[in-house]
Amino acid sequence: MATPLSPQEIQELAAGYVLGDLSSEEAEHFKVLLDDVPELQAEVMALQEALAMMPYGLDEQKPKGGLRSQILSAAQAELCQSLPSAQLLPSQVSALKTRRFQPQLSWAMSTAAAGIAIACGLATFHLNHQVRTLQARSPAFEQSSMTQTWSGLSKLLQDHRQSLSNPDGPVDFVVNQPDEIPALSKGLQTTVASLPLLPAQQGILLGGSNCQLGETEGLRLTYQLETDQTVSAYQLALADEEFPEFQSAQLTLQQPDGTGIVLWRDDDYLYALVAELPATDLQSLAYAIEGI
Amino acid sequence: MTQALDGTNQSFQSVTEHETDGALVAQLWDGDLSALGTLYDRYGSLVYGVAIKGLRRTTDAEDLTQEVFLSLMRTRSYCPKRGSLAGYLTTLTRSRVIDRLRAQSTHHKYLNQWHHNQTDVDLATPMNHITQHERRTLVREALTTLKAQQREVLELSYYEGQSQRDIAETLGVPLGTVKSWARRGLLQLRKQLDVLKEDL
Repeated sequence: MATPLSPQEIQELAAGYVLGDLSSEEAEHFKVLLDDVPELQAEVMALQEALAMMPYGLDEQKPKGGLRSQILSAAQAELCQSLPSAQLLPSQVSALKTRRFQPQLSWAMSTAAAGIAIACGLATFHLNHQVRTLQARSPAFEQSSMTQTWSGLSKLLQDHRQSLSNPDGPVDFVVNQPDEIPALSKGLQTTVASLPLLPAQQGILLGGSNCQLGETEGLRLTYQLETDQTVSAYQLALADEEFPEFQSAQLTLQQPDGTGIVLWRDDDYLYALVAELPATDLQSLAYAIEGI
Repeated sequence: MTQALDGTNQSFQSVTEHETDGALVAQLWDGDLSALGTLYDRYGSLVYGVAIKGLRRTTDAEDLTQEVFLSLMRTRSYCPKRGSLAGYLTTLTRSRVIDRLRAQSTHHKYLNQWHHNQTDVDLATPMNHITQHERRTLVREALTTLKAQQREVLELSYYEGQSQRDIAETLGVPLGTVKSWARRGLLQLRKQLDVLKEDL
């Protein structure tokens, strides 16, 4: 490039610079040009701006309507997780959506989920008008609705408490390896992959128990955490009509006595964690089980 | 252009929106999720458009759109002084698309390039004074003036991050030809956008 470049050639070099396709020789030459001709910087910026406009040339495609609420719920879940549990009030109820659950929430459900999180006492959140409208309702609204809709909740708590006070210990059978569990499960058809297994570093699996919550067959795995807390992890076979629709959400309930419950579901099972722990602690365990 | 008649109002609206993008992002970082909703309403379609163009599958594009908006909230790497939020989001989306397509980390390169390139961008440049609708109209019209090969090369490079060498191989033409198409295509795009902006 010993000979001076024409304006057209300089422009093409500038375009190449913006596109990132200059050869090393061209790049070296262009650097010198940039130093010598300050106006060239404006040309570069104009080309960058033109290139950045490319997406506007695409046919406008609207994402599905539910994506907005999905994103807001996921953002909310992240914010909730980042807050210390001390900021949460008793009788709090939070519904957090996770990506694992492939949300199919309706607008109403997702708005309700946001409202529930507000009811947790997360007063630092500023939510939109619709959510504030929900907030004005009693924090116990969703919880009472939940209890009325699904009687299994009280049975779940009862089962957990009975397991802790059982003089023979909280488990029916001790297991060494998770793959032993499906064969020991009598009422519930399950697989190792679908079990609510907590990573070993998070808690020790004491064993499992077959349980019956009303007409619902289930399995309870009992874990002991490092803090000596006992956590019951339930896997339940539950017909859709027996349980309120929240398949995109993880629902967290905090009982007045300090017992926390986290519920979530997939296409086949309802899962629950129950322990005398803050709801946020249980959420972390639920995420660990889900591998999120 | 038919939009020219109401261009004044739209421009005013656009300037206002642009100025508040930074404020909305600050609100979002302060935990205000309604700000995220507003930003999604403004740029969700744009981000999704880039994602679906590169990834082609709806579920992947939706997943990436979510990732981009959560990243905006999480990383706090957007700086209004360095350029428009739309530019930041499309750059981020594009780099993530390319990451996924190549299954390798190249987004740092693109983001660094974005940061480098956008330093001290004059926010009063004409492109920041027009609405998204006007931009779409402008760019589509400008792109129609590019030769088919120029546009194809630019799109393969821009949306999918294909190297010019790969493009040359795919199209069965010399590398120099691909370079020439890309560079002249970009120059033509810039020139046409300038011309069309004059009509606004």
